[in-house]
Amino acid sequence: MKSSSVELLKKLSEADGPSGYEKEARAVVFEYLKNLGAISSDRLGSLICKKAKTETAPVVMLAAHMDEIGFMVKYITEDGFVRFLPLGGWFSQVLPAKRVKVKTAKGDVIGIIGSKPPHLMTIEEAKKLLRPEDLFIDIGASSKKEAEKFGVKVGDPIVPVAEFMPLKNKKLLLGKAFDNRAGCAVMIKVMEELKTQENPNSIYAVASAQEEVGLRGGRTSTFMIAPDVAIILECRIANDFPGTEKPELYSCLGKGALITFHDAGMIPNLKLRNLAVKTAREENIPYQAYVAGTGSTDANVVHQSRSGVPAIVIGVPTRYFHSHAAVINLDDFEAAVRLVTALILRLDGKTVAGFHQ
Amino acid sequence: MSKESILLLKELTEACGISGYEREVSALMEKHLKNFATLTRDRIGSVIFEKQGTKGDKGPRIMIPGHMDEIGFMVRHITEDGFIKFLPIGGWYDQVILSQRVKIKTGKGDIIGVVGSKPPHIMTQEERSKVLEKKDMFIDIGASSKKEAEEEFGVMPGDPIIPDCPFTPMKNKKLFMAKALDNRVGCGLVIDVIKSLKNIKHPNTVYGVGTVQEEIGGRGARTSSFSVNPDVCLVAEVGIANDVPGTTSEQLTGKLGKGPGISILDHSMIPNIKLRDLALATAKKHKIPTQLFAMPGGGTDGGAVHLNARGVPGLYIAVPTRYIHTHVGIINIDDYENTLKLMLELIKVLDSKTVKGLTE
Repeated sequence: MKSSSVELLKKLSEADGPSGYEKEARAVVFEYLKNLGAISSDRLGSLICKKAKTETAPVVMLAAHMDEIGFMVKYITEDGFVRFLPLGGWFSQVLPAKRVKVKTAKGDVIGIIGSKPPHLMTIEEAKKLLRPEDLFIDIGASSKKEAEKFGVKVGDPIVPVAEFMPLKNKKLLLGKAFDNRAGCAVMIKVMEELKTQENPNSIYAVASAQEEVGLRGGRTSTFMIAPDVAIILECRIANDFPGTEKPELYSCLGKGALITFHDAGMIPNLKLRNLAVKTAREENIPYQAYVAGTGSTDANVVHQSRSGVPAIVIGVPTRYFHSHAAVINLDDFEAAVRLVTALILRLDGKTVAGFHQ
Repeated sequence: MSKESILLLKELTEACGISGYEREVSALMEKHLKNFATLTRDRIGSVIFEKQGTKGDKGPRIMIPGHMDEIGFMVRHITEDGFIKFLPIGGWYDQVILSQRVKIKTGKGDIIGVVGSKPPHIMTQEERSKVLEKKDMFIDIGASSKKEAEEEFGVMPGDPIIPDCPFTPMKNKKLFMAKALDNRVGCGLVIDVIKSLKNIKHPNTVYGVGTVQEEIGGRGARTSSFSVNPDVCLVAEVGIANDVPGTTSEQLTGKLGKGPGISILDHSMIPNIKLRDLALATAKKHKIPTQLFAMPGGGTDGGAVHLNARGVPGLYIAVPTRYIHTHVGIINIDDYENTLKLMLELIKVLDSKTVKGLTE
């Protein structure tokens, strides 16, 4: 049975799992993939689901990182406040007055990132951007001892608190961690689609670990799989909001799946890219060419693995990621699922062999 | 008592009411006090609850203002592609707004939106080191056009916008996180004071007032104090608890759990010194913890009330609160209970002679 996309996205978005602490997110992915292939993992914690065909069939790697950006407890002050390290790239202006959850051995502890009220601020202070090292988390402990009694320890992961919810336009979904649980969800849906299809290849679906801190699980899982071709599933920037000039527009919500033509981490294999475009056109799947000067994904390390791997990034446009509140459009998500499924069905031995000829 | 107060604070903080749009809050106050006091109103929305004491109308008139409005935003403009540009209502610091959830109260119901933020990936080095100002921010409600925002979602310029944030108990069960503690805590105190007075003898008439539009300049306090014409004023408000990393003790801000704050000065009022000292002595007598504090960067309704008519002895009594003027404040319920206790003890001793003595 196929799962509901919204329910799948909700479960994945609300699962906690910053880089290096992907356990909860991995458990959700495992639950959905366990009956769709043979499960294994690399030694960094990436989860791999293998749906093999014959030995001579080309090996297709699907990859979506399952870690989200978050923080880690760095230090507990004498009066019970938590100083933290960011895990992944945070702009410090999105941090003050946000709710967070410290994941301790004794359970979750809610806290907020403290901020000074304007009443106490000089004009000069108000204009200066706070740095992560200026900030602290208030968990309501009155001393270091009490914080420790709550179970808080140096090294504990910290995640945003943000409930998943559809907006007034029910196609738009608001939540944390769409980067990259949306990619994980695309991968799961594709594997469900393929269950009843005859794909001409062996598939390894990878939920990779530690992408946000340097594409680490992508590297190790690719080595393990040694793929002939790779499709990376990612959230990508939608900046169709006030203040964006047309030439700087990366992508829009609701206008289809993203086929990456360029980012800072990879120039895709051109034949594979053209095949993706052709597939989208022939199958009437809405798509947008994603031509970005910045950003990088697991594809950066995947395509440089061993002697090189033809690869492409298929994305879901996402507003405001790397904050507590990202927004995606369900139609784009469905388009990505259809595009990736259709593309995989075209990846037979001859086509894949032709990519690097 | 504690459990009831917590439920009351949950109900009050989760109500919506930016300055000028306080009706949801005043309705709650009326609901709780309808059997305990006589209701009148000023003409801009403040609600006045009169509770006579043992002396009938011969005792002094004590006004306890607690403002009902919270800080928020207002829809200023809807862009062609359906985004909301907003006006701040009350004092907002730029750095606590980005990527927060907000609720727009429209004629067709509530709409959740989010204050958009640019991902760091597409920021220039310069942008990354600069504070983004409110005027450059926008709210994304998921509308694809101005037409959709207006006609289908019901959004109009002037619609109020409030932070979206549930009332949440913390691990330490005495602490609570919520929006709008400033000043639904004061509204809660007004309700609890008036209700408690039912079983207490007091030689005065108490006017608990839910004031409007404090955050934009003590406006309801001005009109309601004209209506009440008080002889003495006790301001029910939150104060700033700043017992957090990076604070020096000479700033004299409050600490959570150390009792009501007795103001020695704020931006809008220097308290009547005799009244201040009476509050301290009363607290001492009844073993209620207190802390002295100063808030030179902010004012209260006391500013307007103490200048009413020929002047009114006033005192600002505060429930220390962390992170006010953001989506999430924190209070300690013990401080709330102790503030209530102190106010009740003070009311008991504010007879004609004592009140007259305050200005002699």
